[in-house]
Amino acid sequence: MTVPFRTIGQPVGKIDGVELVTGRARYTADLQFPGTLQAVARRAGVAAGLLRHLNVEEARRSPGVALVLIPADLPGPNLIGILPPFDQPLLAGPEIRHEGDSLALVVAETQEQAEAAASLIVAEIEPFPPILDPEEALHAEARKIHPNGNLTFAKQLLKGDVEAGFAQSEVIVEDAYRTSVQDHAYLEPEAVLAVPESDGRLTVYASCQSPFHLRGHIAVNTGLPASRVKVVQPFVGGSFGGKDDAVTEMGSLAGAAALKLGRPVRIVHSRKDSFLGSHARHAAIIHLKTGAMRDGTIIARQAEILLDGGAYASESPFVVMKALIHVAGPYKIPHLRVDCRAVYTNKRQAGAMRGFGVPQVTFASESQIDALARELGLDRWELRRRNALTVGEANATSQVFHESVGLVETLERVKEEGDWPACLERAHAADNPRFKRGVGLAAMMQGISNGAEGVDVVGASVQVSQDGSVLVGLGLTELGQGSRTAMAQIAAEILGVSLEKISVRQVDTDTVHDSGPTVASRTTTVGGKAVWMAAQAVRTSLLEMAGLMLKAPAEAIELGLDRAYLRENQEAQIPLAQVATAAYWTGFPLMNLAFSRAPDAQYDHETHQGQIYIAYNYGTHLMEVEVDTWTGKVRVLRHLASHDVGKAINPLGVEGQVEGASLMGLGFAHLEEVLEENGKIRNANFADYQIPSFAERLPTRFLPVEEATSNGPFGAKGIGEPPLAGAAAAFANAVSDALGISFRRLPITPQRILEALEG
Amino acid sequence: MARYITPHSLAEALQILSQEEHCLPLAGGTDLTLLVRDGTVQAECLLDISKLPELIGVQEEGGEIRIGPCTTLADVASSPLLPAALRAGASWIGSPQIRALGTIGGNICNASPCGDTLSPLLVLGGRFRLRSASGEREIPAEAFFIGPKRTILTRGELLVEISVPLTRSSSQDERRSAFQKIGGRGAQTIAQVNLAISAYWKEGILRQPCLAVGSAAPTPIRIPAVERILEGQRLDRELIAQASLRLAAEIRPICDQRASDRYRRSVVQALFRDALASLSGQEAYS
Amino acid sequence: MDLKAVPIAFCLNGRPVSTSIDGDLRAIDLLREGFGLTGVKEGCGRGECGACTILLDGRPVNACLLLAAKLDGCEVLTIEGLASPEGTLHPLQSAFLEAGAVQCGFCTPGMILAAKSLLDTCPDPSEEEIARALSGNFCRCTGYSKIIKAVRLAAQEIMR
Repeated sequence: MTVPFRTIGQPVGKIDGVELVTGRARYTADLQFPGTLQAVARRAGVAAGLLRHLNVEEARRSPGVALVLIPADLPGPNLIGILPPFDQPLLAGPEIRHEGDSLALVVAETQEQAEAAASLIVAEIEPFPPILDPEEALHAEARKIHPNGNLTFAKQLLKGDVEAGFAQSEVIVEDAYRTSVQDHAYLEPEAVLAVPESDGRLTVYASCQSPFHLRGHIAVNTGLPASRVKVVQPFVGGSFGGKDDAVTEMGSLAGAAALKLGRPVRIVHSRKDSFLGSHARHAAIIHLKTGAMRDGTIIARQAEILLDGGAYASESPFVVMKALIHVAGPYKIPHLRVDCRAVYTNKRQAGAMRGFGVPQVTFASESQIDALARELGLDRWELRRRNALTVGEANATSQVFHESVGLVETLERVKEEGDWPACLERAHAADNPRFKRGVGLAAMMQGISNGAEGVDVVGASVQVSQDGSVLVGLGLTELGQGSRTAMAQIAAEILGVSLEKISVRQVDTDTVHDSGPTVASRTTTVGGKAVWMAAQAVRTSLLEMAGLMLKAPAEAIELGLDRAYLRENQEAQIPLAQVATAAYWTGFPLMNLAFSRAPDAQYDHETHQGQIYIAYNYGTHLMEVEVDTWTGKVRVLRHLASHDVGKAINPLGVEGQVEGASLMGLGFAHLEEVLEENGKIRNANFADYQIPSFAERLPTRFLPVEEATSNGPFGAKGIGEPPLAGAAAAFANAVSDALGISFRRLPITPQRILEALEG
Repeated sequence: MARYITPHSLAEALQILSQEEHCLPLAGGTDLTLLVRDGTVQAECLLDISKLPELIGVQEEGGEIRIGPCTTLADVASSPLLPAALRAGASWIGSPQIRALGTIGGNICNASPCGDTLSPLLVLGGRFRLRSASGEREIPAEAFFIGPKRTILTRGELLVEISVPLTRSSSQDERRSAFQKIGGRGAQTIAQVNLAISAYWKEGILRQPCLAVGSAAPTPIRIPAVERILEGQRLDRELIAQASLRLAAEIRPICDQRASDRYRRSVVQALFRDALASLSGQEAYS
Repeated sequence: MDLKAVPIAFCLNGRPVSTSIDGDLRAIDLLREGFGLTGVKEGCGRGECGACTILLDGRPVNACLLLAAKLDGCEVLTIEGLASPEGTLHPLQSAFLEAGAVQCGFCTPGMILAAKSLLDTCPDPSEEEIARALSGNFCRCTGYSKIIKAVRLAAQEIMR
């Protein structure tokens, strides 16, 4: 386009923002239908065992109870999951695999009645000693949590000759790193509302992340064809990867109950239910070994990654692949061997959470880069710079990008703005006996979109009405991240329409195309590309029509400010509404349904060598901290976050993603840990599970780098996840720098800091 | 379902309490609402005493400061009449939302070992007036707490007044107080440990020091052994080191999901040093 | 007559209302289910997250910890009552949009009301004062900085 961007690259407020600030936005729990029943699950309450008998008789007689749903009532296979064969029962039994397993669903007139009745259900469970340690789960003699054993998934990455690489290395560093379970802790707990329709169809309103995934499971588990199930996604109060499995379970159960009763059934999780009955981030144990030459050139890396997947597979296979591919970091390392496994344990299952394996391995990798720098006596920034991936170089999967590798730019920006290395001296000079200062760096990359996880297709529709207003539909979802706004901007830019005239509808599986899950920072990149394509098609109609009206070739026409005009003579213009009306009466198509398909991943499945991701987001973070050595409390004094986002469609939204993901990264690295004892969660509330408050906010400064990718609209790459890993790793390195102690376990809580200081 | 009664006077409230078997007095309700809702506490009847004028307000009278138990934590935190430790303790409880509803009497009667007004009341010589339809007694704050969430209150008895002796500041001999707390977060947090101290402070010397710690034992506790170490002594590095080690040894914290006993024993020393710094108006004693 | 019914009358978003309730009904349930004010969000049900914040006689309180009976005689403001009846946004609402202080929006109603209470008593707050006044409200999306920016923006707008 010869005209400068009008909307793309402008900071704009959310197009659905007015609903959100006025309280008009309806989330699932806000919807009202006459005759709605409430339902709650009776959970197992023990981590492992055999359900001998389930007595629901008293619950059935309890006041207000309409139904107590037990496995025998389910018409379908009573199984859900991400990859077949599915292994997670909607209602468990006889095998109990974690304390949050649902045994029965109690449906009653009110929430209180449902809760009261659920407490009357008697579950006779013969307890087993729970398997809680992922390493123990892999012992040959360990009890099998699932029939095929406790290994959920294992993958290997091989590049070069790692033995030769280490033999050649002049310095080798080796350590084990651990990370803990992080909860999504979105402010809106999971909720579903299933409504049986008069025509025999089932509508399920759900606070979900992947409506089509949900639809498929509801259909199978209620015995309806998928075409008779409609999933509608109202406003969602945050998801971060979390609203898949649990909501699938809830939607299937509520759907089965609603069909059985002929009345709407709602399940709204309490916060405790959200902790017990949804999935979380995988805890990880990472053995990492890195070999380098004296000059800092990294030659070889070997990693063994063990992910604690909890009771069910969920997204474990894909998290395994992502961790596998990212443990090498954003560096050119010729020799690699990575083994990554996920195992079953008798804990709440782990699944997708913002970062998807990358925060765990980035922490390990970046900690080890610092260890290597110490060993070599090299500057930490220099070491990263020396090994940084650039255009034309092979990454861990031997994939070579010829564009959009902005890592070095992010390193440079952070160095300049952070005044590295002078900032180090200043920080250390400011030390006093109690308060120690330190600076941490972390470089990272994160693959954008599904990559090796499967086909990557998104459908989008763009429809221009005769009045010049535009309706956009997309199969990916708004979860708070601002995707509707970004999609509106893309359509507005191409059609020359002002943003106010664009609507982006909420996802309803009847009206949009199955586009896979809203995950992997893919919405702007692949989804935006689909909107771009559909808008381009409609633009063609408008240009041709305007050409006829202005008596000029279509190529001479430009669209903008809700008008069509001659590029050479802007006085010659027609309101877009007139063009659209004329196009309608002329019979030009004003709607288009487009599918963007990312280039397929092509790689060797044994070695994970090949083309895996369509692009990577690269980033560098710098954090300066002050540690109170008396209390272990840490204050973050400075935080610089530079990311290569390709092109920021909405800089305000991008900044919001960077700030929000970074604080979640601080939580991961410093405060948050789901604590469990004998397989029972001890801190299933916000008093004891420490999500960051205002007092912990970060002074994040975002330093954008824009190296465009041809695989995204206007060059854009996703930014939803990457900063989490960068901030977490930088924090760990900063605290380690401040205290001269290498922390190898996250979160680095005040308590762990004091323990380390006391030796 | 529960009945809800709003009495018009304290006398009426006490009368109702004496007659009704399962009637619970309710102040701000920030703790009780949860307990009633989840069935931890059975209440057939809730007696809302929070609007009784006799139970609200902070005033100076007869050489002491009298605090109505239904004074909100927000009002306690901002009352210029009250000693610093009590104001600080109240200001650290929960969130602005909790402090707007929650009352000092509720914090006391809830008797959680981590209640942030409790250790201040212990070091400020706080006294509680308890009244029932049949009589009245006054007891020192320390005698009130007998275990986690347990007090000496008997059925039908209501906490009707909290008093702390007036310690008018004079440049000659000023009784000062300070409060410190540490929790998992910097705000909206429950104390892993809290600590209050009060003492006459003159030219670097502490007299009649009182020290109390919360979340360090089944009830908030005074630490007389440390008070004796400090008494009449000049605050210096050595004394503080000795006293804080003793403090760590004296407390009996539990290890739970909020913190380990070891951590509590460590940070209580930091709180102690910070409280002394705040009390003496000097830099932290390192 | 149901002996357990408690008659209450209060002013809700500028309008007098009256009803009868159970003694242990929570304000959040009355407002959401009785009056359809679903802008009052339940995030934790334990007074820990602040999503259900409403203004009770101008002060922010957790509607999940508040018994509905306590609304009697009070002035109650929920997010639905903040914009003008004609729909003109309150400066805080506009500022939250402009500053990018809203992502998923679930914490937003409570956050804005807590901020309103602050600006009503402290028209020109510092960053620290804002952070302290809003410390009872959690946000999992934004990282908080833009919320502080929004409150300052609104304060300037109101003072102008």
